[in-house]
Amino acid sequence: MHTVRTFLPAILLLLSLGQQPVAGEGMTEEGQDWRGVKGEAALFQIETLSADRVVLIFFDFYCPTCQKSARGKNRLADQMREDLPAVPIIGVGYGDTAFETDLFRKKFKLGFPCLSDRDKTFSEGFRVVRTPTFIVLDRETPDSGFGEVYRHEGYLGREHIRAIMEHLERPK
Amino acid sequence: MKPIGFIPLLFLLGSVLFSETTEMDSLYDPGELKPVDSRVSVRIGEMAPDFTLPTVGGGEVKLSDFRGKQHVILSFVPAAWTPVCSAQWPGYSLVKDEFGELDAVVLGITVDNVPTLHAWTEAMGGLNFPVLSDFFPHGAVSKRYGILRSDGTSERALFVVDKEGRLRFIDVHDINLRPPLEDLFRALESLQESNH
Repeated sequence: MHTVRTFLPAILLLLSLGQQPVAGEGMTEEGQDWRGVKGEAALFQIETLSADRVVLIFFDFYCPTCQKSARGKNRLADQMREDLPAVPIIGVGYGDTAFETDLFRKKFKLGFPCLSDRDKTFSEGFRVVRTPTFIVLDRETPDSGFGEVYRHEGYLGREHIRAIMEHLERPK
Repeated sequence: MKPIGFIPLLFLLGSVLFSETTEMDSLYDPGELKPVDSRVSVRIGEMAPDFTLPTVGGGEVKLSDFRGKQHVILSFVPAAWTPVCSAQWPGYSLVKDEFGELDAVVLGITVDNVPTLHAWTEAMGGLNFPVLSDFFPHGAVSKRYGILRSDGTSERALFVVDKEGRLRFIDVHDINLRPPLEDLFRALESLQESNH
């Protein structure tokens, strides 16, 4: 398992920096409570998540494959909401402004919070070089750092959703 | 089902699957370029220089034909098959309705020829706005607007032309970067406000 312990501070930093665009806007349209996260920015910090697995979805507003994968992203989110309600999905607008990130989320009615990563610093921390990229992070114990256990780049098909779910459902 | 009906169905299915998995892996990366390599020769408030250019879809588009009807966003990009350009226009396709709500249409322009633009836009999965070729005489429109670079490509530039044909927004952007979408929306929204 590739350890990304060093990424944890980056996640914390991004999520705290990203509070503004996430506030209310970043949550599901209908819900104030998602994956145990209240729809208030102050509460949307990774340490408040009880989850030890996270799915990161890197997309670009301008990327045709990301646009085509939007249905798959929602399918994955729906499946996770049903089977793994404690595991959060976080969308990251790779190179997108907050406006573009939020517009993408609204256009495709993405049911998970999305953060802008205009200068790609956060994405580069995960060695993301193209979009869409889907990463599953896991930590072996509640106190350990996150490690990457699965990555898929490109169009999100049913087989990739299946693979993500398998990694998320794998017993500890 | 008759066999004759089944075959087109297979083709349709194949094309859908292909379009979902096709990615633009053939892009040419020119590396970091001089951010701006020209001097814009038009100003906000002036009448936008009129032009007629051939389109990828066939036929021609004349800028002044939009007068009295819609605002026009002229989006010049430097070259087909390059990374930043390929990651700009699909976003404009995505917000066609939002532009429409602001009475605006996009015209995409490059100095590439029509066959090249055809292949490129097809590889992007198609675009829902006219793509115009400023190929011959080479870059004549780009030159008229003062955005033809010394290497024969155009700048990455956005112009908003209002319904009267006047230039209302100019952004000759750093060629290496994508212009933020909100700047364009802000410009279009200010046109709406000034009309009320």
